Amino acid sequence: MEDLKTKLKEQLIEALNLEGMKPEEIDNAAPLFGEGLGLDSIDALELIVLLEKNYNIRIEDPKDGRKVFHSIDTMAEFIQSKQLSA
Amino acid sequence: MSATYISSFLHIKNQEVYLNGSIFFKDEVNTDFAGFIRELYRHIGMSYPKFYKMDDLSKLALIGGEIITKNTSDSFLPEEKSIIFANKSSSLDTDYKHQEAIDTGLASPAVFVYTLPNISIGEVAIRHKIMGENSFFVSEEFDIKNMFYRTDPLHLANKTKYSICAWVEYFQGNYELFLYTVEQNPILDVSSIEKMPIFAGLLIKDNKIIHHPSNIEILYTNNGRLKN
Repeated sequence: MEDLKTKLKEQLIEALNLEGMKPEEIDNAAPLFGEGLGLDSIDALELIVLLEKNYNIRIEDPKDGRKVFHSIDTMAEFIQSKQLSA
Repeated sequence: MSATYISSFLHIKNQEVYLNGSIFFKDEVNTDFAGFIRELYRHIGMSYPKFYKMDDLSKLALIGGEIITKNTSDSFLPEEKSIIFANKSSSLDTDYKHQEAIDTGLASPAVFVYTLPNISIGEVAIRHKIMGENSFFVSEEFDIKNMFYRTDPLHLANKTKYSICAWVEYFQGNYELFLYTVEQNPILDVSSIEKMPIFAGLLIKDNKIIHHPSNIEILYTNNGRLKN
């Protein structure tokens, strides 16, 4: 699970062009939007693409996105649950 | 009716930046746009993480806007400030990247949002709280008269008090930005102009550069440099 979170943070930094940021600087539990990394609505769309591209997981319902993209922890849990049920 | 003046001007090309006729920055290390613009971003001490997410056209416009606004007065209301840009390649560089992404699988939303040239105006407007008139024109070459006649009437009709005008061109690593500001009461003042050798033919009134097509052409064709 920790490996997945680290990999996820590396992918997130690359996909969202978070210049100068290192994976260890992103708190697994911190909110990605708002006061956390300050991501915006376009970033949210990039995260949807990231999941589909790297994990072959589609977010069908936008409401799910709010929960899934809350933090690195929630994203990793979601990916793992999808992989286990696949 | 009051006259309008060019209150500041900037030229960026070939890793060199000229501001109001003098060298402002020169990158001796980077020869590519990505390295150069990042170095310039650091040089001006800018802290705006969104910069890294922009396409190259918007990066060029944003950096230009940042340098020029630091060197002109900003006592205007958001709706008193305007932006008029033009270029040759529109957003073609990003259009290609978007098409490539589509061809290879999934398109990137972050790339897609820059597939219009006037997004560069939006980025400058957001950064500097500019809510007045804005236009983006695409032409084979810098149409100076069009730029002039799209700008001057706005001032004379009191629709705007401060305009940022630019030829902002980017395509596949080739770039050029010629940006100037127009005001009724510029602060590009007597003392600073007196210290600068004025290029022959420049129309000057009360030691201020008159907003006139021939002056825009002189400043542009000399790459923003003032010389004897």
